[in-house]
Amino acid sequence: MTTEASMVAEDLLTRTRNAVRLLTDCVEVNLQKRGGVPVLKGTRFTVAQLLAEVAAGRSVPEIAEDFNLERNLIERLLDGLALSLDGPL
Amino acid sequence: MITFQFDQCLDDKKIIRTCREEGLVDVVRLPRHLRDAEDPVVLSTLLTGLQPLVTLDRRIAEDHGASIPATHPGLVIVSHDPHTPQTITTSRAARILAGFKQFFPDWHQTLLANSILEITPSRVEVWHVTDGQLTRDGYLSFAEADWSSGLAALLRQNVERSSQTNG
Repeated sequence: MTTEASMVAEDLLTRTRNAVRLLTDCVEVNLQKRGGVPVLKGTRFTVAQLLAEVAAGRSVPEIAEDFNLERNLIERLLDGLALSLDGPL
Repeated sequence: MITFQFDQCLDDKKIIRTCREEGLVDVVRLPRHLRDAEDPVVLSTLLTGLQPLVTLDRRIAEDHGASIPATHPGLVIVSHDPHTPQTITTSRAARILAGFKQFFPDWHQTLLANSILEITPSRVEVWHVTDGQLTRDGYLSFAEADWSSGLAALLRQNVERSSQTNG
């Protein structure tokens, strides 16, 4: 493996590790909760709905306020998703 | 006035405000102690109360029929039609419900006891639970002319199940 290739691989690994850490901090998968659809940790609110609400034009502070969710938790989740997609796959 | 209990997915201040302004029914938010609860706990706790539960979780009844008491205040599931390439949001759910309510104007006075309804943009399905098993009572397409009277009949039939169960 060339040095450049190994640096790309190492970067991918670090990024993935950090993204996984962020995501496992704020996402929970439990078959007994929302049928195993990933939810924000400590809630019954699915990550899919959260993203769909964002796609529908709602801001993170608005979602946190309207659904009584922790804003910090949502921000960390979005950071984790961003990090996981920030680079070549 | 009927009071509906929202699951957390629908527990949106904007939707709640709209419902209250409409003035036909009241709604209550998910109790704090259930915000982290598993599906069977949510069902067995809320469906032993007096308020029909409204959720966007289309699988909850199918996955946890055993946690639904034989007599209960009602469970309403709002969802997209199958294969819709969109995730449901509260505003989409509100639009689906608005379409339903337009053609079922007595919705706010109709008892839902013992019925499980799944409402989509194109149809409503009605189920009930016997010994933990779901039984489908009917599938009513909004394209059918008399679907609302058919729905009313199915709901009445399920309300009567409580008197049969209670002897």
